[in-house]
Amino acid sequence: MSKTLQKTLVYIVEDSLSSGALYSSQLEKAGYETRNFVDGYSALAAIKERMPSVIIQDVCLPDISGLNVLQFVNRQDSPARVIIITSNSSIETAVDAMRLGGFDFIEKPFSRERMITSVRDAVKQLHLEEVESKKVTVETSTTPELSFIGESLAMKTVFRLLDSALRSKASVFVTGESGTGKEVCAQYLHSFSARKNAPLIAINCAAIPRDLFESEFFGHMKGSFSGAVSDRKGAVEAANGGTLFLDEICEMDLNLQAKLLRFLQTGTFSRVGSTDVIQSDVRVVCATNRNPAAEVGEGRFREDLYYRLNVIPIQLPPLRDRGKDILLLANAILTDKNEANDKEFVQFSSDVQSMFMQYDWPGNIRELQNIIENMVVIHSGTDITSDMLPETFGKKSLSAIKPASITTDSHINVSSKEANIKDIIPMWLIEKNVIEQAINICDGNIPLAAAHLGVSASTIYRKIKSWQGEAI
Amino acid sequence: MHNLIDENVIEQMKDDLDDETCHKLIGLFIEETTSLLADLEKAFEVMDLPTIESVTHILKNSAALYGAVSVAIAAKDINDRLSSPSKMITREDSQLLALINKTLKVYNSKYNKAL
Repeated sequence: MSKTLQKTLVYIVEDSLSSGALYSSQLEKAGYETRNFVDGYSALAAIKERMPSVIIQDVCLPDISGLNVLQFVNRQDSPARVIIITSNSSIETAVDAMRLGGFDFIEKPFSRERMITSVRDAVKQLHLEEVESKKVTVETSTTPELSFIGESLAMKTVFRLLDSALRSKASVFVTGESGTGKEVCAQYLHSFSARKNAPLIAINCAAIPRDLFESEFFGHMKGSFSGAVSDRKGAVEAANGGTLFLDEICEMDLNLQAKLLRFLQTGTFSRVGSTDVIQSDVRVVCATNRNPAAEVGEGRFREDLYYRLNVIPIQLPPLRDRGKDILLLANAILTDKNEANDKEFVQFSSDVQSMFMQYDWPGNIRELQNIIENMVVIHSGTDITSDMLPETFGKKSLSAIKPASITTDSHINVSSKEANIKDIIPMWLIEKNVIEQAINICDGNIPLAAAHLGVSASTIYRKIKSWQGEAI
Repeated sequence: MHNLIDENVIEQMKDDLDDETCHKLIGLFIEETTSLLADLEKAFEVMDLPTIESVTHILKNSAALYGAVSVAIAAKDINDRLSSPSKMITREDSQLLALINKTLKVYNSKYNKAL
C-alpha cells in the first residue's frame, strides 16, 4: 500500500458502533487511517482538532443531524470531502445534503467496494484541487462567475447551486427551456472542477439511434455485432476521471435507462460483447427541456434513475423571467459579436431595449444571440436601432408572422365554425412557407434570408433537405 | 421464513479482513444487538414508537451488514411503516424480539468462540 493512502485520515460518523467499526476495519485494510464517532458532537470536536481528508457521514444521528456536521465542515478552510451515507427512507435528506456540498451519497447497506471507491475518488479530487490551487495563484484571476452573466435572483440561485456542485461528484440534473444554457452548465461544472484535465464527453440521447445506444455508451468488442470491426471505447469509458454530459436524457430508451442506473450504482459496466467488468469514475451531468418528474409520472422515465440523477437539480429560468439580465446579456453579446465581425456598435437604442424587455423570448438566449448577430452582421454604425431588428422579431404568435399566401390559400379561419380537423396545416408546412417566402424576398440569398429569420443558414439548408423527403 | 444468517456475508468478511478482526467485529455486533434488544423490549412494553423507530433504523443496516438477514428484513419492515405518516405498528411486530433472541443465540454459539 502506498504511503499516501496510509496517511489519509478518514472519519466515520455512524450511530451504530458495530457498523462504524466494520467500515473502519475495511478502510484500514485498504490503507487508510480511521477514527469512529457514534454522535455528531464528538465528530465536531474531532474535526475542530484535526480536519480529516474524508468524512463518511450518516445523516441520522442521536444528537444533531449529519447535515449540521456537513455544513460545519464546509465552512472551514480546506474542508474534508463528505460522503453521505443514508438508508432508503432518507433519500430526500441526502439530496439536500448534496446541495449543501456533500461529495457523494451511498444508500445503506452498501458494499465494501462501493465505499472504498467513493473514498478513493474523494481523495483523488482533493489532491487534484491542492495541485490546482497552487497553480491558480500565478495563472489567472478568472472567477467561475465569468462563464455566466446574470444578476437576477433566479440566476443567483443557479450560481449558488453550481458552485456547491463544483466540489462534489454528485449527479446534476439541469432542466430548462431550449436555449437557456443547459450545455453551458455542463461545461462550467467540468471546467471549474478538479476533473477539468480529464475529458468532458457529451452525448445527445435524442440523436443516437436506439440500436447503437448501448455501444455508444459502453463501447463494444470486435465482432459483437455486424459493423463492430474493431474494439471501441464507449462514452462512459472515454470520460473516465472526467464528466459525462447526457443531453436530452428523457429521450433515452427504458432498457438503457436500466443499464445506466446499474452503472451509476456500481461504477462498473461491460462493453457490448464482453463479460469483463470495467470501472469508470465519471461525474454525470444530464439535461432535458421536458419536465422529468412528469416523464416519471407518465412511465417514460424510471423513477429510481430520476432520483439517482436528480441529486443536484438546477432549473434554468427562461430569459423572459430574468428581468434586467436580458440587457446585461444583450450588451455582452453585442461586445462579442462586434469583435467577431469587426464592427463598432456601442449600445442599443432605448426603444430596442424596451422591446427586448417586453419580448417573450421563446428561443431564450440562443434567440437573443441570433438576433443580435443578425443585426451586427447586416448593419453598421454605433447604435442598434429598432429598424435594424429582423422583421419577424416581436411577433408573438405564429399566425401574426404567417405570410398572406398561407392565410388566403389554406382556408383556415379560426373564428369560422366550418373549420375542422382536416383544415389544420402541419407545422412543418407553415415553417416551409415562411422560409420560402423569406428566400424569395431576399432574391434567393439563403444566408441573408436566414439572418432575417433569426436562424443560421445551416438550419435553412437542413430544413430544405428534410422537405425533400416529405410528400407535398 | 428466511435463514437467520447469510453465511456468505461472514465468509466475505473473513476474506476481506483477518480472522481476529472478524471475531472482534462480530463480538461488537452481538454486544450492540443485545443492548438494542433490551431497549426494544422496554419500548414494545409501552409501545414507545420513537424508540422502536430509532432502534429498528439502526438494526436494519447493522443486521444486513453482519448477515443477520431475517432480523434486517423484519426491522426494515417495521421501520418503513414507522417512518411513514401513518406510523402503523401491530402487537405482532413484537415477534421481532424473539427473532433477535434466536439470531443472537446462533451468533453466540457459532461465532463468538472462535472463527
